[in-house]
Amino acid sequence: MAAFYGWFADLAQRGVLPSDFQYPFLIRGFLCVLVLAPILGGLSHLVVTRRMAFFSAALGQAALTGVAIGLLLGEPLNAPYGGMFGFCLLSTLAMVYVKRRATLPPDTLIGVFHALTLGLGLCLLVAVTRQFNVHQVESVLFGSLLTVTDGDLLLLVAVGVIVGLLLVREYNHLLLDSLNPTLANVNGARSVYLEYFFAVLLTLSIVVSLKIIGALLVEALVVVPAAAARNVARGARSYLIWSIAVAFFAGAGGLAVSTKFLVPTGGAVVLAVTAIFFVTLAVRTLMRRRLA
Amino acid sequence: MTGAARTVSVQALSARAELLLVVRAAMAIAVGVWIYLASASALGGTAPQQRNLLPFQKIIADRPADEQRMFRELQEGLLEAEASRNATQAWPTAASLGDSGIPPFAIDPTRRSTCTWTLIQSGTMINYLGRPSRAGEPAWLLLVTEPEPGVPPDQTFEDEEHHRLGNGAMLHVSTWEHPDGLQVQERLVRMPQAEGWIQLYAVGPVRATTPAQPPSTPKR
Repeated sequence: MAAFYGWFADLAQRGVLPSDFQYPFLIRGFLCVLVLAPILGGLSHLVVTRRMAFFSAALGQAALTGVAIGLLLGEPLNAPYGGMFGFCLLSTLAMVYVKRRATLPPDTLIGVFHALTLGLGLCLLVAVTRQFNVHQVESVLFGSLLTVTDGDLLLLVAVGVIVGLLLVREYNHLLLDSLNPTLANVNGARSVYLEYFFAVLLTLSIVVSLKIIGALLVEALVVVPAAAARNVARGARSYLIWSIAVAFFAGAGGLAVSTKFLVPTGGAVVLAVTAIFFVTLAVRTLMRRRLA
Repeated sequence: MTGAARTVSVQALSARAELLLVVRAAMAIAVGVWIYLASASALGGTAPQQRNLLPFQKIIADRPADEQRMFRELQEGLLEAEASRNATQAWPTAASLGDSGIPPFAIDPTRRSTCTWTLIQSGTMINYLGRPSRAGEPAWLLLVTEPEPGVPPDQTFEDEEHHRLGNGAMLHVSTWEHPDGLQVQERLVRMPQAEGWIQLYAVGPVRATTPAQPPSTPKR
């Protein structure tokens, strides 16, 4: 990878690329955005259609707890993936099962899991900060490009490819099931399977994007791109394309802002995606007025 | 044109069958994580200090002898600067530390490379910045952050990155090196890791699992 980064640095020094590209962390960040945009953007419109925004927030908190569990189990601070993947996947299975079988409204049940994982995470983080410097753990909460390693990037690419392939394979069934589960069942889709399947895909995507976006803010990037896309899209296909485009521009814009003003990457990306949302909202309002 | 209606029977999964599948999947996940953790601990040959470093952090023991010497002198210089800060309520300038013969701020004829040291302060952030005179030499930075007035400290015990002043205030301190020293400009550095600096540790961010220590006695 050193030669690869060196090539980028050379281009930056010759003025072909912005000067910030002389730093490997920024190149890694840009590559992460390139991979994350289609994953999170692609999942985003399904998250909104399936009304799983709150579920995504609960998963972000579960990831925080997973980090703490991983560190307490002896995983390195740089990659507590065993704890994160394990705890988040178990939480996902539990949330989906209870949501499907309980009589309480889904948002109430997810709220219970949300509170449980957050409370557990905070208690465990106190134990973690007895072993680790608190500033090291902060980067996981708020996301930091500076902590992303080549290993993280490879994992992101691997998970991105797997999630992308599975999503493409089941996309039509997922979309139909999101809009009309009965029709999807009649059409041969297994609604129960799709519900677990999509939740697991979402979990994998959230966990791999955690080091860049941060546990507290990852929810925004799986909800707001679709919300913004909905303001301008005119059909299912353009809804998907706009979601991916919004996620990409928010990621790239947030990266630039984060590097320029030395603010956490997660916060900058969320500000960028929210700004895009309000721009699309304004565009939609203007278009409606013109048509009226 | 109308198509013929067809009847499709959809069998709902029973709660018991679904629970069984979920439990099986959960067990598979738990076993998978256990195998991963076991293999990671078995294969992870690097020391715990190395494993917990972020990409921009290094252990000084792995660096060349010249850099180890500079790091040690910077730790000594920092303690002297903190003592002066205790006594006078102000951070001493690099020149005054040099005049007192405190390394690395003082002129040292035995050193191969020399740095020009500057104190740069803005609000609660203090930089002792050392810039080399020759190309190919590293720049050095002592970054000290004082607590904002009235804000409780983020932790209550001292370690490599947390030093307590005589008045009880907890400082956040860190030591940094920039491989291309001539590139460094004389200005306040707030987030060194974003500008290509490398943070150096003596023992690393992982603490020994000892109970919290009581506050140390005021320094001088």
